[in-house]
Amino acid sequence: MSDKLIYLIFAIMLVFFGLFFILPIFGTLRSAFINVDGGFTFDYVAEVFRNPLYREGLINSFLIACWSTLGCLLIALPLSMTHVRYDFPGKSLLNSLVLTPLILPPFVGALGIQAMLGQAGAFNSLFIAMGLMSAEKPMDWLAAGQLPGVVLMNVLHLYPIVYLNAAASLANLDPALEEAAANLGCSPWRRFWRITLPLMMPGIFAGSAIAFIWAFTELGVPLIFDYDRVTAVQIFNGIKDLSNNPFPYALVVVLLFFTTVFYLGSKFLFEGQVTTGGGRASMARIAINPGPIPGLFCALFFILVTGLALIPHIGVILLSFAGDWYQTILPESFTWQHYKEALGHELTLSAIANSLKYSSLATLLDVLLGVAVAYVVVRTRFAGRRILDVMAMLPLAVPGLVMAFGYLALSREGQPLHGLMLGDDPILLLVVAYAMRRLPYVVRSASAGFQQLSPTLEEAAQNLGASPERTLWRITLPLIAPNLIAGALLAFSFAMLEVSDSMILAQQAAHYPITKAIYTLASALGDGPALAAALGVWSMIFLTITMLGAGAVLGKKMGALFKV
Amino acid sequence: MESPHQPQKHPEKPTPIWRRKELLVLLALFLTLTAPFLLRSKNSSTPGSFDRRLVILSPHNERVRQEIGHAFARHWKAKTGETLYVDWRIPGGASEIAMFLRSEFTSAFEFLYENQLGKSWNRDIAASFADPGIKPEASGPAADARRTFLDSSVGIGVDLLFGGGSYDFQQFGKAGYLVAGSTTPPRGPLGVMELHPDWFEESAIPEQVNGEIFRDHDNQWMGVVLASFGIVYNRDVLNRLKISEEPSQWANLADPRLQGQVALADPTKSGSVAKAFELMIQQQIWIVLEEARQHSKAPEDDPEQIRLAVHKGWEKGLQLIQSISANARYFTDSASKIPLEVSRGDAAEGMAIDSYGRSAEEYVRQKNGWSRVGFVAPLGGTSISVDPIGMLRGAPNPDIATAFIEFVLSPEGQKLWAFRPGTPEGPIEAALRRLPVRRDIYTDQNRQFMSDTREDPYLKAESFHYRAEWTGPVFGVLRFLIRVMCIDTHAEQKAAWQALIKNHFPKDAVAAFQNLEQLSYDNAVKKIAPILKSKDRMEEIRLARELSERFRAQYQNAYKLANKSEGGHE
Repeated sequence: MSDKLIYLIFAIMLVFFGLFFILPIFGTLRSAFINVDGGFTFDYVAEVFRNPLYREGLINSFLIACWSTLGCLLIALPLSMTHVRYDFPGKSLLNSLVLTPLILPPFVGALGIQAMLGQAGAFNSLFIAMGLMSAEKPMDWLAAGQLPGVVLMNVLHLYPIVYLNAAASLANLDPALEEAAANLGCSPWRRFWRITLPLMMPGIFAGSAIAFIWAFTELGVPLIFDYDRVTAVQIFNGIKDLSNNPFPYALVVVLLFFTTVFYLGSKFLFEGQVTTGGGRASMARIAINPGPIPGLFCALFFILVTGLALIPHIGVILLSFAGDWYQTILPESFTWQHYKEALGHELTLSAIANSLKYSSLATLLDVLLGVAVAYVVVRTRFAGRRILDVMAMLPLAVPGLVMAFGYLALSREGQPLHGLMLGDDPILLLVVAYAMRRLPYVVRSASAGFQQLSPTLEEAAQNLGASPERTLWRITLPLIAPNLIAGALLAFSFAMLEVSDSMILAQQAAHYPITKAIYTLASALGDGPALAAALGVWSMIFLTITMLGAGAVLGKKMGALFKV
Repeated sequence: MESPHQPQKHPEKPTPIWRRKELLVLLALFLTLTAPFLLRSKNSSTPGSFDRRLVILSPHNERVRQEIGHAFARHWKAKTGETLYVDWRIPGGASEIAMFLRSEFTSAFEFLYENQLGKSWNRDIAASFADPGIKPEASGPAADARRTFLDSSVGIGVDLLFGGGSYDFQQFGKAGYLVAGSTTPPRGPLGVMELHPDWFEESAIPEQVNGEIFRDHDNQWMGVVLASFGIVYNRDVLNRLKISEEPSQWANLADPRLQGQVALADPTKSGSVAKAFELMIQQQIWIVLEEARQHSKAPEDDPEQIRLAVHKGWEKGLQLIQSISANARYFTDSASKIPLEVSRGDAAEGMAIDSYGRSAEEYVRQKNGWSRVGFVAPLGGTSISVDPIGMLRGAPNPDIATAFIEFVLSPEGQKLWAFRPGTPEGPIEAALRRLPVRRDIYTDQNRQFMSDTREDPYLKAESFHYRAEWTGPVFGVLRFLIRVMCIDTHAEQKAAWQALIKNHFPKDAVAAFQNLEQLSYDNAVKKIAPILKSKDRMEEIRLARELSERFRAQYQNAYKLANKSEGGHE
């Protein structure tokens, strides 16, 4: 790639980050460094470390992140290996269902969990009916063991991210290398540790880095467990406190600092491990048929993991059909009425159209930027590439409310982002806001693709006279397409489920995305939550089909990953 | 041992099957997208073309927005022939609205200040222009900014703020976000008063009722419907916990049998919740005062007797809050979460606004009239306050905004809140179940159409007299103290409470748990309040750290003492 292009990409990214990431949070975060006389101070930041409550919050967040990442790896790696290696009944369907735990709609997701795990919820009712629990003293699952509960819920929510990235890198891996090792007498275990794992490391790193930072800064799951001694919840409480103290912004700064440190640290450790594969798979991987009984076990493994992870979703689905659901295993009466009302609501149709518009544009922007950033970071020796790399991860760690109010303030008349408002229509603002927070998914997936792909193929193309740009377009991008699709799918799904920016920036009903429509329905008293659940189920179905569709349409070209 | 796999012959799957799968997925996608299209609503409240627009910022729920919005659009059409688009803005709950107003007014005023007045904007100006503590008549840049703001008609493109706690409206009014309007032409609340002086007499909307302000003294806002906090409870869960009597007072929430089963609202994030906690304290003060009056011959208004009662009641109130908090599952900022969880059996009792409590009760009511959910407003422990409306500074459509205020306060608008759907002048689809502010609506004639036929809020209001002078000076302190004493240290507090319950409340451990020596009324007024008001925000943070560390240590100590005493018995 020519130096000119690299500088251009770097310049574009600097402007993009400067305008849409640093500027929106700068105004608020700055107040954490200003003392009463208007001078500079570190007092607020120091106070974070002086106060044992916040120290404990940071430690808990770190522990949650570590355990959650480990848990994700323990589930996702065997799953992805099983998927690539073996043929088993229902394989394609089970593979596409692995991703569904990711798509839990906001606001109603917590209700679904409660409907299943609450004191008068489905599980307790089942245990009581089976005589395993006394009706007098039902278990209070959500209040007992908050930290392990948060970790478990994180793992079940996040393992698909690790799975998706690991499976993408396995799909890129040349099976000939494994076969060569086997032919040379290498045992399966040794082969796994010495050949497969090092070769798929870029994908594993990509997935775990996102899972780690996600779990480290996760707000929703601890809130479901009412667990407030983690940094993200402490920030949330502080920002919403009426006293309007700048202290929570100091906490945000500390959180951003640790995110950077952990990310760079793991990157440093990981770079020693990376092994570039031999480029394109020289042969098709052929899945082994392990026989009916082991095949059944493979299928059971998938069913068990997905089934556990889908408990909240099942709760939401049942809620959406339930009349009143209380102290029974299943709702006593079922009805279609909630769907009729929710889908027929005047907000719904335009909200769906808006969400599709915002999310697909944001995903497109993410893919363009993500490929560019990943290319510069992985393929060039450009001095600023590490800054670029970290920049692309940080949006994951900034609380949604801080970003959203930052954008709001900057989009007013006389402010730098005012040009993004098309009259009343916030579409550009929302696309940029969505894209910024979802860029990390695409950058990580694309980086993993570039890392795995040996540069020899690109060099060959260039030796034959292709320009670097043409090489990228004709050789590199088609080869890393599975990774790009993985990243883009994550970006699209999470954009569809976005909350903070949608709540604050989409002000007029005509511009609401689907998440704000869900919020609107949920806030109505009486059957409001059931209506919201119905709309939530609709978006779950839509996103599941989108994922299946991505597989069906692109599956042939993409090899093993997205076959349906 | 696994043998290296042979290159078996797996023929490529034939294309037609793939095609069929693709088609299937596309068909499914199509069907998913068609469902909302086929079911789409026929009557939209966003007319395709409209003549005028009214922008309302509101935390009111969907049903309220629908009924009131449609009714007013019809009213406006009948009156002027214009098609009106009622443009609701809902950034979230009370705290998001407060953040939204602050952010928007700051940006708008910055634009005015810099670009139109050509003055330079800085942090001081940003902090001062909406600060009610700064006297506009003083000199200096801060006062100049304040004066400029209050004289300006800088706006944020929103006409009305509709709904929320009266405490929030007071704050917004003081900041200068709300304006009273004018008498000629009649604009804003002031204009409505000019048009209908008879609506604002004692018999309709009094200025205040038993210490609660129903319409702002400066006419910056007016109450539309009534609201009060109370206890929502689940009868099944109470039965299970072997609590035979239903709650009637806040003190019932402190019952140790309710450990882990109480749902509380978060006073740090909502002014009206903080107010509810303030009323718990006022109730304790009244109890102390009544008792003192029985035993002494001092006159009713003896200042010394009142002073002592305030001091003692404050401490008793804090202790009550401490015990209630020790029973609590959480402090939430979502108004709908508590009634929902109580009705689902995830909590036995919780704090709720009356309208939420009543609709939770109704939603699960069985055909025979029994409901597992109940709601009670503690007699003498809660006041009736209002849920107001106000016009924002720089409202782009002051004439329609005024007509809207006029409409919601008119008998026609007031009936929408209370009448059952389908009754004459009632709502069309759903009952809103809010109690109208106007006293003259509660006639026998009207009652027959109301959802809550027997409610008599003005009679209930008699049971409590709010005395702003008692706890007003420590209102901010109370919120702060609940945070350090209960919320930040909730984990340790709950653990200690559990140990106390298990060991039958050993005296020394209880004393350690309840130790509030630093939090006397005098300390609160003289030491803590000034720190919270200090310009140096670090002082507040340091104090929060000191106090929460002290409470943590205190709870940990109580935990140890409680467990030790059990060892002693054995």
